[in-house]
Amino acid sequence: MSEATVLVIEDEQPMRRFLRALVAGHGLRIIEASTGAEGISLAASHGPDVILLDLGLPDMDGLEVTARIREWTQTPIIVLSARGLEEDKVSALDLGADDYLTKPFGAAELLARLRVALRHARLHSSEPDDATFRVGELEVDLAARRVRIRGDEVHLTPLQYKLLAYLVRHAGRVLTHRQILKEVWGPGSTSQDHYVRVYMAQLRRKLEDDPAQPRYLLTETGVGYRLRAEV
Amino acid sequence: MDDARTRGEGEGRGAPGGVARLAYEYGQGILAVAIATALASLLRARVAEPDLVMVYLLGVVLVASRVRLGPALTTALLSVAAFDLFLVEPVYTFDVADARYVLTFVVMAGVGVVLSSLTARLRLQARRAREAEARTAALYQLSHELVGDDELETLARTVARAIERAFACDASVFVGDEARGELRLAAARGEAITAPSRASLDALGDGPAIQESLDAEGRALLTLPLVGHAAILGVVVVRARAPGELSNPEVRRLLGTFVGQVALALERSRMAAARKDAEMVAETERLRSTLLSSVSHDLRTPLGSIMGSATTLLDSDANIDAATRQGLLTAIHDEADRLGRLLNNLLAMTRIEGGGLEVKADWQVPEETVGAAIRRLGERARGRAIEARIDPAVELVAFDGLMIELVLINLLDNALKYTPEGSPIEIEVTAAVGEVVFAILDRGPGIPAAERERVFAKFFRGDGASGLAGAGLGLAISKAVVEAHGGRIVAGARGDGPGARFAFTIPTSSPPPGAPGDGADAEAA
Repeated sequence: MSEATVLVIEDEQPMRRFLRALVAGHGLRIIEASTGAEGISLAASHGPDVILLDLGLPDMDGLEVTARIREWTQTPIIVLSARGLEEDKVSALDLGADDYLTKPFGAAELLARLRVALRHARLHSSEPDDATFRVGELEVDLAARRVRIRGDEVHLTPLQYKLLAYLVRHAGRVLTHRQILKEVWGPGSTSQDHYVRVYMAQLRRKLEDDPAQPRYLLTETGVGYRLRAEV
Repeated sequence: MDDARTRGEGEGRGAPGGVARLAYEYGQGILAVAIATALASLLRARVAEPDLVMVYLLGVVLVASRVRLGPALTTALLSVAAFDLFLVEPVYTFDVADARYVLTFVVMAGVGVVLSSLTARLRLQARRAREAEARTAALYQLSHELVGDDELETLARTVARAIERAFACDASVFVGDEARGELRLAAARGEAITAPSRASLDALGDGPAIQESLDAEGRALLTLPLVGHAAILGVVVVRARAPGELSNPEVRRLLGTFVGQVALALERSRMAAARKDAEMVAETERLRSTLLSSVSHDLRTPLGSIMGSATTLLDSDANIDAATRQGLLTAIHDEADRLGRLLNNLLAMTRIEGGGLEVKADWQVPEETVGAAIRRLGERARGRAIEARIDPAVELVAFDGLMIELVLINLLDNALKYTPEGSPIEIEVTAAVGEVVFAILDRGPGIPAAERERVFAKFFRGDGASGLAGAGLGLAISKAVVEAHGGRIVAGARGDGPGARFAFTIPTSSPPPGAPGDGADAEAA
């Protein structure tokens, strides 16, 4: 993760101090903004690799900042939100944010999110479709459309595979129900959240040792799903 | 004698539809005269003429006691004519000399008039008694029906229906709208009646109990005030369905009684509402003070540890070894984590108390919600074996995913908190008839039977909970959430050895429309 630049848009001074210490401590460069307007202009002038955006800014709504930044760049945005506003997180994700963290969060969580975001940012130019994804004992070969668990091949139905492949391409990132429905079932079925739940349950039954305590296919209640990228 | 008149018809007058009845009564008269004539003819040889008149008189008496005035008089006249024609010499003629039978006729007519009017009065009284009885019964029933109702609209509907049923008239109930100072239609039966103006209502306050007027078609329109303790609560307006109806003073008296009952019930309902408000305010006040004391304790304790640990670390004079340092840092982390959880529960409780508990039910896979809850326990569950057993028969269930996750987290948290380190925890999800049962079982000391109800009360903390984190909100929140879903939550013993079992139910309905996926996506055998 060396030499990547992180833009922090956050109005709380103590929060910025913590982020600065952590990000700089892991060899990343940091630029800081305390308002939405300042953040947007820094994003345009400095071209950061990742943006950490607080949703509760004094001058403008974090959702608006997300939408404005997405007008011209696909730089990963990780939204920082205070608990209790699941709708806000979903809105931000549907507007193009890549992930979210709920305050309070720990250093490990933030670093994991940053790693995923930076990896996706780097891979963005060269599509990783020929790559084989591995996490724990799960192995997904996107080129050969082959899924293995502990080396044993697992048979998936076409829709199950489509769902898994979509999660693999965004491994480590949260995907909202809406995004999954649109991608896997098509734009017409975005109000049928339970399709995703049923198929996710089927995937867990095939891929997890204990489907009730999944290691790979994680639920972000009220938001969506996340395929674990690192064990 | 069967009463052919329609229900609720006017007070003792012949009904227009009674032609058949009238013909029947005249027929009775003619028949009586014919029988009397036949009988008299048979007796004629042996009995004196004046005595034969008695046969006719008997006929008149019998008929008059059963019919109205017209047919009775006709019977008397016919009797005299038949007597004169068939029995008085010369027979088959009306002689001038027969004028002496005028007296006989007058007597018979007199008997007929007296008897038939007596009969009519008796009959009228009997009918009024029956009607009064029916209305008293209706009144009794009304007062019964009013007891259960506290809701203004239901009350008004009950009343309008009762009045329509008992008096066969149109009835509308208007209640005073305090905010706008107008009368608002609360319920109506039969044809609509326009609301009386506020001015007429004010006039009502000093005037007679019942205001009467006639509508364009001559039907009686009665306005009865609903007089409450301090003010007029509204009015009941009734309208007769035909001119002349509702004119009996007895009916009005009963209507007055009806409306009095209604006013009482209305007053009661308003007082109940006011009392409920007052109780709510008191309860909110009580809750606020308990919450404040409980929260300030539960917030200060972890804050105290954080503050202490941090200042110790900041103290440059202190001689801290690496292990102590690590311990202090861990304390800061754990206590902050605890504060965060407490805050979540406080927020949830505030939402519930504020009446903002809105269940956003969605088709959920219980296995997934259980999994998410276990994962959210994070570090706290370390060293604990948590086993989840999900009945394969449980599929999609409609509930609010975030809320039920919160319930599961609270129940699991509770199990972790009150059971020894290292003891296992089990989660069971089973399908039952019409519901799904979620159960959390532990191997701790269990809950004393006496406390199984009380554990769900706000700020309740079990014995031995002193020194443990939490404001006693978790179970109260769980109960509120489960009940908002239409389910139940219970605490009990696990049965197979020591340990507690907390279980809650979520009602199930038919599965969602449309199978996910399509035929092409079937599982290969």
